[in-house]
Amino acid sequence: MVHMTICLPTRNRQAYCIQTIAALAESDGNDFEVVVADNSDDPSVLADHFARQPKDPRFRLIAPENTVLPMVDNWERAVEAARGRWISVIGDDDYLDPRLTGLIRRYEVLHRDADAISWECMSYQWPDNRPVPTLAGIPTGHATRLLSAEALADQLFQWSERKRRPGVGVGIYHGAVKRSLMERIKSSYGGRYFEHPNVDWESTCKVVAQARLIVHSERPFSVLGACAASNSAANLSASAMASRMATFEAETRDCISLEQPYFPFELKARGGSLCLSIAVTTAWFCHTYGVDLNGFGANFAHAAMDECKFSATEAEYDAKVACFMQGFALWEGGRWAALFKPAPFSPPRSINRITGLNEDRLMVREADIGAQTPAEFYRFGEHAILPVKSLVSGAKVFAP
Amino acid sequence: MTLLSICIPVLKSQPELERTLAQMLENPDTGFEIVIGDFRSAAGKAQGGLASDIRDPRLRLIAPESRAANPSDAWNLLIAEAGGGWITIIDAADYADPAICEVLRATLKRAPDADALCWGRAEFIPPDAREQSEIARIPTGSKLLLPEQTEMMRQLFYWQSAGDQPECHFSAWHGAVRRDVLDRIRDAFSGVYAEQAQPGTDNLCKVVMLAKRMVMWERPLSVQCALPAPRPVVEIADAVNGFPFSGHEGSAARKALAIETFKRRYGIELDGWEDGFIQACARDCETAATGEVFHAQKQAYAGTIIAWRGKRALAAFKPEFRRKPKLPRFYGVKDQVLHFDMAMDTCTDAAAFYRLINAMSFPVSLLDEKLA
Repeated sequence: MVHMTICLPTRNRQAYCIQTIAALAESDGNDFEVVVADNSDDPSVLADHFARQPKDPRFRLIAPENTVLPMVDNWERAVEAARGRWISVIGDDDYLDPRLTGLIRRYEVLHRDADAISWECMSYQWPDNRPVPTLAGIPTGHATRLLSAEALADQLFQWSERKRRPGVGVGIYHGAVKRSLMERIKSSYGGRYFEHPNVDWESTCKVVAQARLIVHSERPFSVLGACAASNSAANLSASAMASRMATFEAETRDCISLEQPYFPFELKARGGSLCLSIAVTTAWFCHTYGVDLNGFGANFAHAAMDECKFSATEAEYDAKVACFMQGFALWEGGRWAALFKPAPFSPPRSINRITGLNEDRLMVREADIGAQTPAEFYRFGEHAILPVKSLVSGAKVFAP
Repeated sequence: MTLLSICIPVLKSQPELERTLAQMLENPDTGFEIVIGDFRSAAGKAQGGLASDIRDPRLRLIAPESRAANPSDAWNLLIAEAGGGWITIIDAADYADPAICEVLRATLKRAPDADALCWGRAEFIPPDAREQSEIARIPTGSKLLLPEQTEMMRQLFYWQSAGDQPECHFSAWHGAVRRDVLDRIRDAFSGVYAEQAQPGTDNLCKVVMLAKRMVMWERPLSVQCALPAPRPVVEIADAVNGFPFSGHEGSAARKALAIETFKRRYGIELDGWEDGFIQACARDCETAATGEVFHAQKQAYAGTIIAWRGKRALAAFKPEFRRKPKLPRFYGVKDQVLHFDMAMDTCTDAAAFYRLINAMSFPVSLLDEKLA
């Protein structure tokens, strides 16, 4: 039986996708499958690649439809096609270690109710996405934690940490969700797995709301890659961000709008940020499905101030502040506006320079290492983290 | 004036040396020089020049006609030739980062009287010398520490808190020592900078005695190319009366021989260090990669300990073989030390290995800012 399906939705980034497929195919495991959901304008590239490769039953390609699908619909058909008992979604420029199935099996034995599994992710910029010096990250821990759904809900829906991003790394994106939970999500929320254009954070909301037991591994099992064509790469350039937003808007025209009267922040404004994008999604979910938002207003004002602190330039800071101010002025009659008092701009002392260990995460200067893809970086990073075999066997005693 | 001289005695041809030098000279800092001493045999010299293709005024080659009779001769010649205010000495297979200059500048701003600097240890075993996977252990801290001289004396001469070696590294060997301290060492002891078969340990003893302000940066700044146990036997010229260790027992014994030689030669009598040393002997055995090596080393140490202090001394000698093949090795961070497989990034020499650890350690360029 297929234990895990890795869904790989992709659009017009065939070169990266092919490298990711090749990296996954190197695995000798046969208890996983990969579903590539191609939403590209040119269907021939991936089709030709599949035709050229020796037949590998672990890999399936879903061809593009006649018209370009919104990302949310491409994710939907990928998960619909999945046969695995557990399902994970990664980007076409990412990597996931198929030996994750070993960890899932161990967790299924130890925690029978587990229906969502998360892990820390490595992060890596592809060589074509390094206009400035960049750092990759390797989480070095290996403990297993059972996550409290209540605490996660506080962090995610109420933004109780008051940080620019909720520290909630669960969901189907770079996480594994049991099929039964995905079906429960589908039946509970509009008859679909995914509804909102911000699919990854939407999945986080639904998993946090519906999971019986979430188990977290500090040991990383995947790499969040960022290539030059990725959305995260746009963070390095305002014009790239504007262009990506325009494309995103065009391709999600028929989806749920990112602008809602109950949360009147303008995500596509120049000062739009990942913080705001997440808040748009969590606010939509809570509003749509009646989740208590008590505390969100004040907490989000602080999270927005935290986001403003992370500005590389004064222009970026000013744009973020203006965007938030405008939103807070309109939101609930300006009820939270007075709480949004960002600290004056302070230029960062260093950007992407602090290599070394930072809160259990090893930051590595990418220009000085040999890895050329997320999969190669994963193998690089594996030299400094507990081997999968030791983790899955539950080893507690080690030779020096 | 040149701030730092990195001295490299070359005793045999070292193919990777040219790459090592090229990597060092990538650093644009003009505050350092590299002094190479070509102490190879005539046959070795006939194999070709050392770094003959590199044209950089910061690189100097000293080629005495005769071979150095022992490592101390090489040290004496190189230190005399070095023009830097601070001296670092490494082997030809090792690596030292010229960014030590930046660390020295940042240190001297805060501790102008500093005269000995050491840093976190980093060892590398070349791939063809590995019989199995080898774990590198790299400190992850970046604090600048100012240990007291008495503390360092306890750690060196009493083997306090020692692993298989004393936890004290203030010498020109993979450290940096002010020239003034080295000159005082020459004048105070034997008229030469180094006098023992193990000049690194000899220098360590003398620096700890004479330095006024020792400073340690936790982050590694050099890489020592090492070989796994059993290591090649180094001939130890200095036998010590009443201390029956030959050095063949292991690295703790070799270190102790050099320390004892120093103590005896200069009339330093200490009591109460023996148990600390015997425990270090046990830990030295525990570094063995195989049961066979462990038992051979344990037997050798036990025999010599009995001959030295009698059977009762074995109470402090309880090595345990922990590297059982069935037990997995640990990778990750424990006690602020990163444990990783030396095969990471397929490094083939100390220079490449330093590039790797430099990419994942606190940046030298931010030390001054961090301390501000």
